[in-house]
Amino acid sequence: MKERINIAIKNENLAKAILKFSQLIPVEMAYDGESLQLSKYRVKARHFEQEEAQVVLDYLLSNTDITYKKSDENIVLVKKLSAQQMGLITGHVSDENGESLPGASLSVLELGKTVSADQDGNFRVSVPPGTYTLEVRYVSYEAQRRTGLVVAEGQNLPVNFELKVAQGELNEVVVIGYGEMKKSDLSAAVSTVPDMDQATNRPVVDVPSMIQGKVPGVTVVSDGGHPNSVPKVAIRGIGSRASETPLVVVDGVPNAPYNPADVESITVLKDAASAAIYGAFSGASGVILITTKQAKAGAPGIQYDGFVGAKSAWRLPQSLTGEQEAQVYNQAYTAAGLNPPDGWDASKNPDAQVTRTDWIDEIFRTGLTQRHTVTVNAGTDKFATLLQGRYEKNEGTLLNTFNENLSLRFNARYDFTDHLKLKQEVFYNNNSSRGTETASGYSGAIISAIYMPRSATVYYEDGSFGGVGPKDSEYLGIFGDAINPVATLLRNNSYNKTNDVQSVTELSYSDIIPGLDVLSRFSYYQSNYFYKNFDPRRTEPGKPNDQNILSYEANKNFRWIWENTINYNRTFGRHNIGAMFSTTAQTTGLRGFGIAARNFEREDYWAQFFVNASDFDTDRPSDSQSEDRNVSYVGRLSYSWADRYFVTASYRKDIAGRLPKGFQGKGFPGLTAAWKLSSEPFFKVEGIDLLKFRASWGRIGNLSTIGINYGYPTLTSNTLYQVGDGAALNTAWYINNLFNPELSWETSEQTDFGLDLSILQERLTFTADYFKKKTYDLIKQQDTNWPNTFGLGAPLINEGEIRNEGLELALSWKDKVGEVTYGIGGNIATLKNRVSYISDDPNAFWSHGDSWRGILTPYRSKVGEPYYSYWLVKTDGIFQSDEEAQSYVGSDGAPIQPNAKAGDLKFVDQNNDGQINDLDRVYMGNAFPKFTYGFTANVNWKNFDLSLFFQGVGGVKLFNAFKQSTLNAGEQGYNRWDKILDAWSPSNTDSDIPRINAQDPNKNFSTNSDWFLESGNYLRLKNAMLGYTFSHLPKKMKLHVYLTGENLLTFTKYDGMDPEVGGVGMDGGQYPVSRAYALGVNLTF
Amino acid sequence: MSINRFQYSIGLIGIVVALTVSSCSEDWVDTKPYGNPSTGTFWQSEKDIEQALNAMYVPMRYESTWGRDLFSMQNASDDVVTGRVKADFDNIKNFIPTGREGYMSAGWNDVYWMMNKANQALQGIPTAQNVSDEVKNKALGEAYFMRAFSHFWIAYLWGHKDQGVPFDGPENPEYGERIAPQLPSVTDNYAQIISDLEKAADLLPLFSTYSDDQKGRAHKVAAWGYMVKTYAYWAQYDPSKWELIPPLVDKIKNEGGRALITGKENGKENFRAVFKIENNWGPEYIWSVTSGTQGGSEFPGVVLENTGWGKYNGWGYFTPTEELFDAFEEGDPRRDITVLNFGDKFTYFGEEREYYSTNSLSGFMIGKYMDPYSYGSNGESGSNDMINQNGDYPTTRLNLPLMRYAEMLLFKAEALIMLGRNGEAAEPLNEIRSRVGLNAISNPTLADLKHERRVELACEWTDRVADLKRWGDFDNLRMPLHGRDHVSKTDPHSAYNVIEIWPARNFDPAKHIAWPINPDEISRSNGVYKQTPGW
Repeated sequence: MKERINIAIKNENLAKAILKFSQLIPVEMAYDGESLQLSKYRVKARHFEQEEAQVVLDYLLSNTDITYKKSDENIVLVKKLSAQQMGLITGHVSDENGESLPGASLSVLELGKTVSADQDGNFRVSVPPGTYTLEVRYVSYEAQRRTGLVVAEGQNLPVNFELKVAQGELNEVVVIGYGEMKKSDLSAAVSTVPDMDQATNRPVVDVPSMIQGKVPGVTVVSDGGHPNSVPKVAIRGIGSRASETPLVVVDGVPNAPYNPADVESITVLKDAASAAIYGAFSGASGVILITTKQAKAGAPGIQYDGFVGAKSAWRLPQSLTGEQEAQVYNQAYTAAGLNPPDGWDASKNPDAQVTRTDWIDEIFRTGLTQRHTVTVNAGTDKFATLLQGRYEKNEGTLLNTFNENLSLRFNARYDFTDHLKLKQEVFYNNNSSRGTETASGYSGAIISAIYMPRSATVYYEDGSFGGVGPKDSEYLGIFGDAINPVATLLRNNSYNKTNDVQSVTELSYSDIIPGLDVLSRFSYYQSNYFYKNFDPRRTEPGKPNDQNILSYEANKNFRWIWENTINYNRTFGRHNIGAMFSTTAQTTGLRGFGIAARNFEREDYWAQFFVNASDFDTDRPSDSQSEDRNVSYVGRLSYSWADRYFVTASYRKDIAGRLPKGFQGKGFPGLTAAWKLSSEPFFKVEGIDLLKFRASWGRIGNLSTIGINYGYPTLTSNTLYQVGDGAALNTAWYINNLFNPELSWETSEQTDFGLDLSILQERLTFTADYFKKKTYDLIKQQDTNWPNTFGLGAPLINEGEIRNEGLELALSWKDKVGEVTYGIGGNIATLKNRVSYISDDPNAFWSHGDSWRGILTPYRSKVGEPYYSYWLVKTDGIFQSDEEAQSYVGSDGAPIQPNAKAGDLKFVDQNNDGQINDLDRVYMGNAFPKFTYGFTANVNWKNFDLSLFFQGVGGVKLFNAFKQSTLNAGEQGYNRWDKILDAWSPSNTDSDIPRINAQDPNKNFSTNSDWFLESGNYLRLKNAMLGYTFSHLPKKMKLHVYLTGENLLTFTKYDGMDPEVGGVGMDGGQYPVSRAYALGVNLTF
Repeated sequence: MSINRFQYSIGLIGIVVALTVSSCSEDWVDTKPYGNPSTGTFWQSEKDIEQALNAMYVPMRYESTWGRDLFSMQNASDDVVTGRVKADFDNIKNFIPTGREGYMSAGWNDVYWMMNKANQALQGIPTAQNVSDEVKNKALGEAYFMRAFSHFWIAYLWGHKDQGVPFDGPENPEYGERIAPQLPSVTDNYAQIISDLEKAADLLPLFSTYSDDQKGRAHKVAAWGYMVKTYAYWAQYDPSKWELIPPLVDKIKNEGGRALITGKENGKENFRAVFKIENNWGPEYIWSVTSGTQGGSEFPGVVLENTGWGKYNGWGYFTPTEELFDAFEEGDPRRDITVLNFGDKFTYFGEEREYYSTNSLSGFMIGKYMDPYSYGSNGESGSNDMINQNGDYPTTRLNLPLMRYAEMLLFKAEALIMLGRNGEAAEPLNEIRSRVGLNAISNPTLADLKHERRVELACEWTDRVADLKRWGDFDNLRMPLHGRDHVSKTDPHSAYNVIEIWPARNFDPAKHIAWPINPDEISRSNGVYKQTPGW
């Protein structure tokens, strides 16, 4: 009786009014007017317009002793029974742990009557005497039915329910792009991240870390252990030549800020068909959908979630002691035929041979990680709010590195009517962070700790930072320009804050006609960045810098997105039809400026202001402003029949303002189909709950590599001092890059075949997917056919194609044995990545400029090889004697390595031309995992819960560039890694480290060879968690306490600190991923 | 059942919004850039031309060019050794580089960048609006000069008789559509350079007409000067080019008003004055890297004692050899200016100091660029306003001379000797010698010229390696090099032994006559470029 009617009730008797009413409603009314004595009642005049029939009937029957029973077919008017005559069923609904389930719905099936349990899980329903069936339902619990409940007149029948958690996930609703869908009905490759409760309890503070190892086909690689950087996520392999970041959509809003502790579910749209709905913004890689906790009905309640933990780095390298360093250098100079400098002569410079400092120990510390979230929720079924505050600080294991967040969130739901709803979300986040750079081969904090002589001290006696040696020492030149890494870390006192504010307003109206909903969502995001940094003078010897500089930077970004969506979903018999149309308009803008000045007499904190600067000329102020707009149209049609056949088709058209005119618009189609074999009438296999075959095809785009306003080429400015007496500052304008007016976005096309299987009452679920993805029209600055002799930056071009192909399997088992409930799950994915096309030139390749100290450039891509392959000369051990080196000859009898001596690397002359050069380089794999896997075990026993999570990768090759500058005695006089003591020598011939030499005539360390290449495979006990739930607490209080650890065990053969180095696999002493232990609490009251 | 007005209106709004947005979306998304001028609105004023020309001068302040890196190849001479351990530098010095060494390849890249900016100017200037022909012509002159100057550096380092270096310009119809082709021979490069320099010399004014804010821009005499040097290098393949040099040098003197710095109290002070900040634009100036405390050539800091005796971030590269020290005649005051030897006195941040070094591989240091470090007080580098306080970029107020008038006189003398007019060569040669108080040589031989050229220009950017190669004096590139091993390296007056500091090298003229191109560059050209012959 939800239908709406117009009716004008006069002052009349009830019989007439009921008659009028009965003609307006679609179901029949059955009543005996005589016995009910309808005409004895008078009703008051009232006009109803567009009112629900039930409301009208309730009005008519108010103040009478008549009530009604409704069913699908009819409405029966009956005499009300007096309270004494009625019976009562009362009781309590709880879960298996005795926790109340407020809001559980109870239906008296015979009466079609439904009530909800109250805050405490209690319910009460009055019924006429009779025999009834009572059914209880609660989301994610198994429904329960009690039959044959006999209620006598005036009797109060107590019935309590204890609901079991539903084992099946098939009924779960999964969020997909622009909508949601029942998991069992999915026809695309869409994965949800399991074990979210544990994920948000882990001492990790970002979503990629929660996904790592949990979803097959999603590869997450940490960028080392930097507290202020987030791991990189690749969905189904790397296809783009530039940044390829999946689009993150939070509660329907792309790229919105959020609190990772608040995440309720994560869905990954892995195939292009499901991601196509986000078109050119899906990053050619895929889309991650995040839903966060929303305000819900219930009495005001407070929840606290938090953890405090400590972390430390492991497998750290050590440098040479003073004495060892002197020994290595004297040996190195002598071996090169050079005279060792006096500084390494113990009799002349004894100071350098004393070991005073363990630099590695000085720069590393135990970092604290903590997060505290307090959530207040309150609401009725018409209005609910959620208020939340979070504080989070993640300290790095290197001194003075951290990332800190303070956020406040307000979420409210207003249901004006059953149809008209408003949702408002406000999120504020204040971020402060301080990082350090560890990738540079020159000044990175960790490599500097190796470079520094251990005879140096962290501080001089006067308390200032120590240099490479005593200030008055005459021998400092032997040490090279090493920088005190403790000073580097501690001098960084930048003020580095970002404030994010996001508001999302969502107005929806449902059932305009049955099944037709509209939704308008407007989101506004603003980010303010403020940076102040004072870089003090570095006066200590080593790499002094007598200039101090104060710089400021401020930016304001904004973005608004307005999205209007019409959705239609209706079932007609066995036909299920869905249609969606949406338009999106968005604008992103930026304004910012930066200023700096130099030469401050005083360096005290109070003096770090421009008023004290004396040089305002060296640094020119800079500013910027830009705006980018895009418009998109999205449509989707879906149809299924009889829960057996499912098809969807979607299309998105994006119009991107940044592209040149004529190339701004592009369409992205997606198609999916599924066949639920288990729903076929002929399919009767005992124990199989679901068997479904899926297929999908679609296209997505990546626009992110193209700069804003690309369509309007501008000149580039630079400064110079080369014109004018006294080297005055001048500016210059020029064309920096060739403009390509035909540039368009890159496109990724993917086909997916999948299978979903669920057996034994959903205890065992299995999903398999096979996909083929090709990304084409790749965007990259042209490299091949663009030598530097152009003197002009190469244009951005669309060129080439990369294919990824893989198999993804996920299996999980859940069961209960006695008091033990347990679940085990595992997933594994393979990935084959190949560059499949570059140009019509069969020799075409892509060169990659990534270099180590400008010396090693190990990467290249070629058709038929993985993208970003290592391209290296093979080594074949170490020459054991000078004769062996000289007898390594080419076909002409001349030595292949004429400068080689005993202890030098033997390079393989791959093309047999008698010399070692680029023609001998071969492709040797890449850093991207060929397979990834993860497995999880969860056990609950009584109040204890335990989970273990392992994660690993295979087929990874890493380029250990750290060895180049720390095992090479021909580099600047830096201190070395103590492994150099194991270098080849006539008395240590089975070493794989080349001989110690101040020069490197054989180019052991400057040849791009596989000597640097190592396996980066690993298996980690990523997380272990042991928790206890206190069950007998006063009132509604709930307490869960847990102990957890991250990265507890790592099995790897890699020689560097940690195999998860990020990037393209070049490890120059990357900030290592650390071990963490934490104690956490979830408290509700 | 029916739908009420409210429901209709919601639907209607949705449709209207969709239609409105779609009809004007192409215009609505069209946003324009702010800040930088767009390519479509450039070349409209004299200021535009000036700013476009300025771009050509930008790479002159780079470390990769005349700050340090291009010197890595001059470091292969017998005058200097790498003063500190640096494997890549040493492989270049030992003639076993791959070409991939950043010190070689970055210079190549940035000099070609410079050449491109000259080509951009040559393309744009003729189209400029609201600009007089006079301004355009001068601008074209600057562009031709800078194109030739950058071209020259690439040509003489990487160019080979049988394979020139890549060059292209907007006068070629395929320009921009193709990879700049390697010319058949380096002499073709030289011909192109001369052609550009002739145009530049015609179009450019004399340096004397420049106001202070124009100093540092290309000028007529610089064009003539590089013509002289180009002809001299070309002459190793075509001796007829020698004839073109003497008249050009005379023009530089007579029309260009260039002269040696003289008139100080003695020869030593005359020579010292050449490398003083106050003479950055003195009569001897032909072409320099304009330098200041914020930008310029960092070469003075690059050759300063490693760690600057604890006071400043000297880098300690390129220390002179015993061979160079011994090359000076008895009584030649240039030796003490060119080479700092143990016990030599100099002023360092306002304090007098005696030279010693625990770091120098040879026991010497280049002394020519010490003037900027004499300023300041109490030995504190921070008190010196003639140097850049940023030790990562140690530039000074001293311009780095790339070509000075003395080299012109030497080329004139060399040309006359090569033409068999040795008697006439005496005048330019002796002008150089008499300036520093040395006796005249009446009928100089080629050996006299080589000696004079070496000692006058030692440790400057005139490239002795190129001289030794064109003279065929390959033994100088092979012999072991020596330095001084002082008993106490912290005592300026300590006794010493002369020891071998650099073993003999293998120089094979069939291979090493020109430097190898970065193999990555050859790769990127996708087979269009060939490696330097022999490599």
